[in-house]
Amino acid sequence: MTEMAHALLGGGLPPGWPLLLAGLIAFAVRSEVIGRLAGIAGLCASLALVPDLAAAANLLPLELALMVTFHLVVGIGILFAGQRPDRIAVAGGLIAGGAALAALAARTLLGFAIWTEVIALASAFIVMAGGTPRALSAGLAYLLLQVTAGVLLLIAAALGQMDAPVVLWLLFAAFCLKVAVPPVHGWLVAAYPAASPTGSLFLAAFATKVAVVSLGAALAGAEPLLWLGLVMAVGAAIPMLFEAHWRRALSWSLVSQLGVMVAGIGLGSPEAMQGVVLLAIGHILYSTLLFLAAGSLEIRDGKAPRGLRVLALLGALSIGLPGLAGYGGKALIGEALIHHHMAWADYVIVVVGALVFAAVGLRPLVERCTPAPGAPWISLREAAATALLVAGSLLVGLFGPLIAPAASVAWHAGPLIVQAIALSLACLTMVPAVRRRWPQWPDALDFLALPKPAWVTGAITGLTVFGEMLSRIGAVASALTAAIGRTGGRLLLATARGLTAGGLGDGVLWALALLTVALIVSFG
Amino acid sequence: MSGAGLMLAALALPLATALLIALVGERRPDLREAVTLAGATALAITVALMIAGFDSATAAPLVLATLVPGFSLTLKAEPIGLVFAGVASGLWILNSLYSIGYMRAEHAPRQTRFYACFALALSAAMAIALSGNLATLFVAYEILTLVTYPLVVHWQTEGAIEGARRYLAYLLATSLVPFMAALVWTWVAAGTLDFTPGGILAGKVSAALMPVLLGLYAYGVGKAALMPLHGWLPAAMVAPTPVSALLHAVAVVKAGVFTLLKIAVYIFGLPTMAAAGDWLVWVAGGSVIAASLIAMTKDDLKARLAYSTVAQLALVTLAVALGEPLAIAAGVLQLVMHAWGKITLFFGAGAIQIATHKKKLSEIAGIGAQMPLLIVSFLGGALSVAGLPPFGGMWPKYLLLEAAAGRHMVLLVVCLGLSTLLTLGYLLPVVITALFRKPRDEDPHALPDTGHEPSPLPLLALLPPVITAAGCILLFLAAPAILAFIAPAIGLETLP
Repeated sequence: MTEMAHALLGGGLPPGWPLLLAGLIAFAVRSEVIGRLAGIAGLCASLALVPDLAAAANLLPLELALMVTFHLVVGIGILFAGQRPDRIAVAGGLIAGGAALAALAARTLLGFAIWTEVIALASAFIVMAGGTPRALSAGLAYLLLQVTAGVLLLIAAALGQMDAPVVLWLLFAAFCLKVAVPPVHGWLVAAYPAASPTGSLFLAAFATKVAVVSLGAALAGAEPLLWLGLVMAVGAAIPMLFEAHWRRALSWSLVSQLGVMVAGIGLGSPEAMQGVVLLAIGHILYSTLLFLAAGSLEIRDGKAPRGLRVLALLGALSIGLPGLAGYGGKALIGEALIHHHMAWADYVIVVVGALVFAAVGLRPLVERCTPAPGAPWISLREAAATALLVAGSLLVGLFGPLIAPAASVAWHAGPLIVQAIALSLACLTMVPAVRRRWPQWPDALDFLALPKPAWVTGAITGLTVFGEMLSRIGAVASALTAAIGRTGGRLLLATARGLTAGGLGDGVLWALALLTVALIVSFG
Repeated sequence: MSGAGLMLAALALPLATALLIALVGERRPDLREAVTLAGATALAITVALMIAGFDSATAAPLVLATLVPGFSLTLKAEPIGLVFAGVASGLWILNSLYSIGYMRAEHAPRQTRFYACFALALSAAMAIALSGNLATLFVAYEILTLVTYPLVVHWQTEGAIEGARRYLAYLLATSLVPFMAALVWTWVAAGTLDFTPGGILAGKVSAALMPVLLGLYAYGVGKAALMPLHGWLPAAMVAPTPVSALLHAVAVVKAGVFTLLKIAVYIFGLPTMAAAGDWLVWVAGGSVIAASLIAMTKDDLKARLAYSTVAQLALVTLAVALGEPLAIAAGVLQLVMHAWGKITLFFGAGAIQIATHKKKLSEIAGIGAQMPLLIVSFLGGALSVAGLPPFGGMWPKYLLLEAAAGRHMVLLVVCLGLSTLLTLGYLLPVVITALFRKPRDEDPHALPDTGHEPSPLPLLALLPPVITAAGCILLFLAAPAILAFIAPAIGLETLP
């Protein structure tokens, strides 16, 4: 098996092919129902293939759990999309999900680069399918950055030697783009909330998680990542605190939690690495729950249905309550930090986690999820999606140590007490007197999504200027080459005319004359 | 049928098709176009049989005629030629379908001449693909130039005549002066013009003169459109779009780079080529960047695509100049992948023109709402041409990157990475403008309407681009098979 074929197929159809196929069908067929049915069929087929895949690719239990979680999100997305037609988002989600599986199972850099590019394309479509001008420009910026990262990955793959410094730097740059490490984090905050509510579910689950897990595989233990990650965790938590748009706040919290994962990768110890994947899984579960709640609110124009409070509460608790999805990974990374003699950093990530809990979980729950009298109940689909996610959250929370052996350290008194204190303090912010003093703006601190006024418009303006500059150079080059070509052609024709007094037939004679010269030259 | 019979059939079938088309003429347009489709299908089947039955051990040359001793017209099948023949014949079917949709929607005159010349051009392309020596290739190359002239000049407006004249002048001048000089030089030095595995020039021409001979070839094969002798390609865009699609994405321009590939593999021999090609690497690399930049400045869609073709062809020249098996493999793949990607783009541009009578980027704002499927196909073609997975165009770019990295040419690696981004820079605006900009009746800066009513897009103009865009994805998967097919011919021992 050659490298190329291997990168493509890995000895058979790529993992996740049923999802990819279903995505293509949903994309091609203009019918919501057929699209969703294809999605469900693809999901079942893909899920049935997971055990084979695990055996064939020799996957770790954690990777396997991540794959199952991806399937869960695809299912939730299809369920949720049933409430409001959103064919392109579903198709994109299916393709991104299938490609995410293939990227996780890829064993070569080339294969990984190919599949992440597929995720990027599908995700860009999901963002642009949001339909608003904001979504279009955000999707464009998303595509440009992801493609740039993809080109860097391809160059790294082509260079070959994995330990050469150039390759490591290329990988570093590409992954920083893909994991939204500041200062290039703005695309995420701009793109994710701009997609449709269904689209956000898929976006938050696949692209960045695949990137962060692979970053761990490629650059575990790279010291700079530890510091970058901590900066990212704290830096993104600040705008999150004051953001009024729920899904945008969730996007900031996503950047912040990615920062915790990046810090874990910077540590690189086995327990930290297990923590990274466990946190990735946990984060997918709770952010999907919260995006689901935010989406439910949005498609009802902000009028909370009955039952939404339960949904939001379960999502908020999954962020950090021991026994639910979000706790184990963070605690594990925290313990790894303590073992690295950086106990202060452990407290930092615990505080950040508590802030996330307060800002994107409790606060919207208290302020927005109260139903008006006589409001309708949440739909059956939403209830079912919640039940599935909570079951997943419980499984991961309770049986985390089974898939990540090191996770048992999270169940000692120390981390449990610290977490309990942090969560209780976070709950205190909901005391009315405190909460009323907590400022909140729409588009809060958006300028932090560099550069001003918004990263996307800035990037596009910059690119436009750059493009115009290139165009000018192009015009000059074009005029120059045209002039050279014209002059050359005129010279040629003039010579020909001079030799033969014009005419095409004479041109042949002229060529023959030149030939004679050439013959003489080569004999000489 | 034997190998020789198949080769003759590949040449004779398009000729017979042309003859039949001429006989049927304007009286029975349906029959005439049925003949075209039948001829195209038969040719594709013939080539498929040839590829399936190919065996390098038993492939024998077939001498058609001996002009003077040692200078004969010979046919001989070999892998690279079969790949080219497969691409050209396969796309002829789709292009014929598209031609029918396009020419009828445009109510074009002189359609009999159009279809007959098309068939003749395919015959010439087959002769180039199957030529057994450089002399045969040269003759077929000239014939291809001449039979495509009526296609380029089709509309016979002043602009078309001017453009076609430029087309003819460039192609004839380059082939009659540098190409023929190089041919004679090669003949005198090596005593033969046969395509021989391993080349015929090693040690026959001094190392100092070898780059000069290469230069004569590189600029003599004008169809490869190496800058600065690229002017004919944008000029030839005056042709009807199906002509631009098949001839200027597939048959003519690919005949050019195919000739260069054959010369590198079977005349120079790869080690000799690599030694002589250093200067050409940089010329071709510069050509890639410069042509991409110029493409960004073009408002006319077809002109944009023409410069894009110049840039993408230069990548094949670059592969030839690197002269390593891996790079040659990239060149052959680029020949295939670019053909499919670019024909999709031309189909798209032509379909936009049929449906909306708009030819310029600045005019097409918002038309994506009318024809989303077409624009998405266009996007697929664009991503393939740019070289992004999961489209076929990725493989040649990737293999070139690998070859450049293997030679430690950092600048070239950067240049190739940049070329992908630049390609997106000039192709994506088309998609973005069509899908996301507001249509011009809502745009205060819009130009006044030209009075054309938008007409519905005929199915025959919509299906081909959708099929070729899907083909770009399939080719992504098929690339290893193509490589395995050509690997013995170019001495690629371990498949990448």
